[in-house]
This record gives sequence, structure tokens and C-alpha cells, in this order.
Amino acid sequence: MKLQAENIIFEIGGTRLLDIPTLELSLTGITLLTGPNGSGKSLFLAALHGALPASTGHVTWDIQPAYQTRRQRGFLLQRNPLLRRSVFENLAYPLRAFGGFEKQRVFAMLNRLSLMDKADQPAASLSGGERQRLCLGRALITDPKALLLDEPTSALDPNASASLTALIAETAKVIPVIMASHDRDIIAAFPQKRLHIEGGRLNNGGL
Amino acid sequence: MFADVMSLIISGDRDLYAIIGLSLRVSLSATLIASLFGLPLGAMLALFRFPGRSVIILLASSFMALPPVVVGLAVYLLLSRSGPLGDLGLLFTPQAMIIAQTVLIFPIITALTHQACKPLMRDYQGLFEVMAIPKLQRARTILWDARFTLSTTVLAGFGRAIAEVGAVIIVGGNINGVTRVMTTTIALETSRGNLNLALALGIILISIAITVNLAVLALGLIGARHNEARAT
Repeated sequence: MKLQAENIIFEIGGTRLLDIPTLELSLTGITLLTGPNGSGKSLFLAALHGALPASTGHVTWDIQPAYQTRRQRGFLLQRNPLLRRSVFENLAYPLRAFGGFEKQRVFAMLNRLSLMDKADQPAASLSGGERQRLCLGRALITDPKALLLDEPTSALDPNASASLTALIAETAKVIPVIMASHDRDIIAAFPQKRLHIEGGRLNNGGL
Repeated sequence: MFADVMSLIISGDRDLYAIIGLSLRVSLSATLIASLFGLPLGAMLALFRFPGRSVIILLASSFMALPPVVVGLAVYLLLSRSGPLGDLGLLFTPQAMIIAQTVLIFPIITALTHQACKPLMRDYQGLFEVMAIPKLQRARTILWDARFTLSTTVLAGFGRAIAEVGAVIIVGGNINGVTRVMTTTIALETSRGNLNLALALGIILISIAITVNLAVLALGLIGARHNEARAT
């Protein structure tokens, strides 16, 4: 999958938070996005996804504009809201919203996430690790063509983090994944391809 | 006296139950109509930015405390023979009473819906954006997930409607067998000295108020359990 970006600039009150003149990537597997806190990782991911309203510039995924193709990608926000519904209904939500709801798809995803026994529980009753797995499943249930993850393991204990990382690695065998993280374990686990951002500017460390 | 009052309630007095029936019909109709418009408008105010939004929020909040007699007067002027809607001949009919109560509780339902949907919208906005959820779907999602709070909003509107006297007495005229409802009958019978009937209706009115409040409480508990330990 080919990702191209040009002239991505995002400013608030005259302060430039993101300044990416040009970027061209052929995405496969996992691409890590690293950088210190406040360096612009979340903004950059949102801009790549076409979800940054005030951005200038142009982002395309396989020549298609990012904004218009958001539904073709999964996105895991750093602070992912769970809908005030059951675990099952949280997973079913994208399918119901866009059509194509099938119980079997939801059950298959519940199985994959090891959440089958919690299907009818309120999503809010899950542990931190389970919540993140559920959010990942919700991002994946529509069979996206790419996945963007913003610090997915930042609030998790080592066990939950390992379980989520395994799911992400499994996903990356099928679709390209861009993952923002400053988790050392994650960086060590996926050292191959890395983008580094600081002060809103990119330097393609490992690419 | 208390025995007389209770026997009046238990005896199934036809006039008494006709009054109760009309009261419920008028207030339930007003609640339904006000909810049909107030719930979507309140959700829209929480979800979208559009010109005039702040003014609508301000008006809805301010009009929550509208005095019923003022609403009654305004609707009376609209529906009176010389008013802009005089030709409809609605004055002193149950329909006029429904209109007045709808006007009275529409701001309450709108403002409370806006308040209930706002925090949900704050929670969900990022998700809606990255998932590219269509606008109508966003409104449906918010309304559905706020349904327990919104149920209490609707019940609050109904409580306000069934208990008010000022608006219905002005536009309904308190005509026996036509527009006489519980609150207007209590006012009339008290002035006539027929305290038994007034008290009987008062007890029924309070029973309805307690039932509505119990329903609000139950819905609140169900909602709290449903959202137990909800995500922060």
C-alpha cells in the first residue's frame, strides 16, 4: 500500500505543531512512529488518516484522498472511548453503522479477542487490557486495508501489553500497520521500520 | 371526610375518571409531541455547530422556567378569534390545551436532552471522526446511548405538564365534560367548597407524581447499572 503526503502543516495560535513537507512510503508490516511526548505523533497519525480538520496539504492512500477513505482504515485512538453498550454491541457498532452486520462476524471477532465469555457484559466493566483488545477488534471488524494505532499499550500492564502486541503482530501479517509508540518493549519488538518525529518534523530514522 | 374522599376514588365515579382520562390524554399527547421535536433538537445542539445554535440553547434554558399562565396567555392570543390561528377554532378545546402544554415542556425536553447528550458527544467525538460516522448516525448513536437519562427527561416533561394549571385553564376554559382536567377541577372545586372532590383529585395527582418519580428513580438505577464502572 502506497502512502503519500505533501505539505502537511497544522498550526494552533500561530504555533506550528506539525510540518511535514513531503512523505512517500510503501507500507507493509509494522511501521513504528516514535518520538518524545508532545512531538506530534498523534497529530501526525490523525493527519495521515485524514481526521485532522485544520490541516493543510494532501494525504493519499493508494492515490485515494485520506479523508474520503477513512472507512477503509482502522484507527485506534490513544484514548479510545467505549460506547455505553455491551462488548458485543461495541464490536457490532461499525457493522451496524455502515451496513453489513452479521452476528457471525462479531462472534468470530469476540473469539479472536478472547472476549467471547464477556460478550453480554457492559464494555465499561472490562479491564484495561480487555478494553484495548475490544477497541482493536472494533477497528478491525470492518476488514480495513490498513491500521493506525496511537500508543496502544501506553496504559497497560506488561501482560495486557504482550497480549495486545501479539494481536497487532498477527494483524500486520495481513494489512500494513502504522503504530505510534514510545514503549521500549514495542520498539524492541518491531525494530525494522521506523519513522521518528520531533517538534512536529519527521526524520526517517529507520526507513 | 377522608372516608368520603377514598370512597369517591374507589367508587369509580364516572365524572371523576373522565377528568383523570382527559388529563392523561392531554399531558401524554403534549409530552409525545414535545419529545418528537425536543429530543432530536437537543441532540443536534449537542452534536453540531450551526448558526443560531447558542441562541437556541439560551432560549431553551431560559424557557425551562416559563410560567404556565404566560404560555396560556400566548397560546390564547394565537388561537383567539382575532388571533393568527383563530380560524382553526381550537380555543377551549383539548387540542388547545395540548398545544399550550407542548409549548410549556418543549424547552424543558430540549434543554435537558442537550445537557444529557453533551458529555456523551465529548466522549464519542474522536471515535466518530476517525470512523467517519455519518451525521445522522452520530445523532442516533448519542440518543440511543443516552436513552436512560432521556427517559427521565421525558418523564420530567410529563410531570410538569400534568401538574400545571395556569396554561390549561386559560386556553381550555375549564368547561365541564369538555376541557376540565384534574388541576383545573381542583382549583374550581376548592373555590366552591367541594373539598372532597378536590382532595380526591389531589390524591390521584400526587399518586401520578409519585409514580412518575419512581419511574425516574428506577430508570436512573437501571442506567447506572448499565453504565457501571463506565469508561473514563
